[in-house]
Amino acid sequence: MNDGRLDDLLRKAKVAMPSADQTEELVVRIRGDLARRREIRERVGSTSRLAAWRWLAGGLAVVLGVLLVIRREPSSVSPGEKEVAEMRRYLHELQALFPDRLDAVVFGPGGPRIVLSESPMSSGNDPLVLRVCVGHSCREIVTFSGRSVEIDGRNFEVLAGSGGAIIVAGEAGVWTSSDEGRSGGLPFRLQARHLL
Amino acid sequence: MITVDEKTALEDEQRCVARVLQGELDAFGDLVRRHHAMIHALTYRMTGSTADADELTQETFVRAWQRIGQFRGESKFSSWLYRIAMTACLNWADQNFRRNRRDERWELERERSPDPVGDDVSAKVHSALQRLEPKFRAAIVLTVYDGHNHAEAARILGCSETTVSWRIFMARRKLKKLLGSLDTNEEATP
Repeated sequence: MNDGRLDDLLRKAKVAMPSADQTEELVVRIRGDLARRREIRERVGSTSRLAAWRWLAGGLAVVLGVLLVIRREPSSVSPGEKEVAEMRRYLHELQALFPDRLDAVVFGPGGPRIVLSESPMSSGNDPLVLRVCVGHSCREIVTFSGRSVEIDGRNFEVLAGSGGAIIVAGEAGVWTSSDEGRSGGLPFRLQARHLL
Repeated sequence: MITVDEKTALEDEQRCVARVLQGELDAFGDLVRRHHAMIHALTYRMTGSTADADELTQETFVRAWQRIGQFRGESKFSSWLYRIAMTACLNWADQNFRRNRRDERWELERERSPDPVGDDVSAKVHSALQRLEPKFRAAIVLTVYDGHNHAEAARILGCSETTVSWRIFMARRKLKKLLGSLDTNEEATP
């Protein structure tokens, strides 16, 4: 078979021509297809806009939340009256159990921890409560004026001054209760009050 | 040489395209009516299946609507549309899963309705065309059926003229083997 005969044979293969009705059906289908695509595009567009608004609202909520936490942080470090009452009760019980030996009670995330002195000391001094926050981790320390406590791996003297002021002093720096809201150069945040 | 009728038709088409460029969907409907038969014949020869041809014809027109802004009028609208259709057909053929589906469908369709035209020669020729590699088939469809020369076919297929010539040579060789019996039958017939 030569090329000419092959081409003739190929051209004998007819393709059914679409009828006018089929063409009109196609026009309708194309219109529907385009409308559907446009609808999807608009829906995706509106969904994207909605998502963008949601992200924006979410972002604003986070910022507001952070601002609220920052604003509320100074008051949040102060132990509530209920907690203080609980500490008082705890302190009385422990003093009865370990007379003149109780150095401090630390209320941390793992529960209360008792710190006893090696030798008997007068425990008649003013009991104090310190709230120490290192980063996001906070704990309360109940101790007495004139005692030494360990905070963040360093020793500090806790003293109740005249006029009710509380002083926390160590090599790392000195903090007084009049510094409320400030760190006084210490690498942690402090708040203190008298327990009784 | 363009006849008066052809010139009028061309001007009509240009006006139609201008309206489509303004976003007139009705005008696009007119373009679909003008070119449906040409695109359907191309997609049918490329796929061998009425269902796939219909699908690709619709896809071609939808793509044309979406890309109408890219049509610069440097060539005829029909040539531009033809290129879109051929690209759609070749992409379709590249997808193996669809090719497999087509093979099954082709067999099913042959069993149910051997060929839309209904004669044995057409069925055998279309069957033989489907056994060619898609790019070889495209070269035959472009040159033998649609009358493009090798240079035009090369432009549409995005390859060199030499490649088109080689593809046509290889396609013809295979088609001669596949359709040789038909030629013998014809010669035997008085």
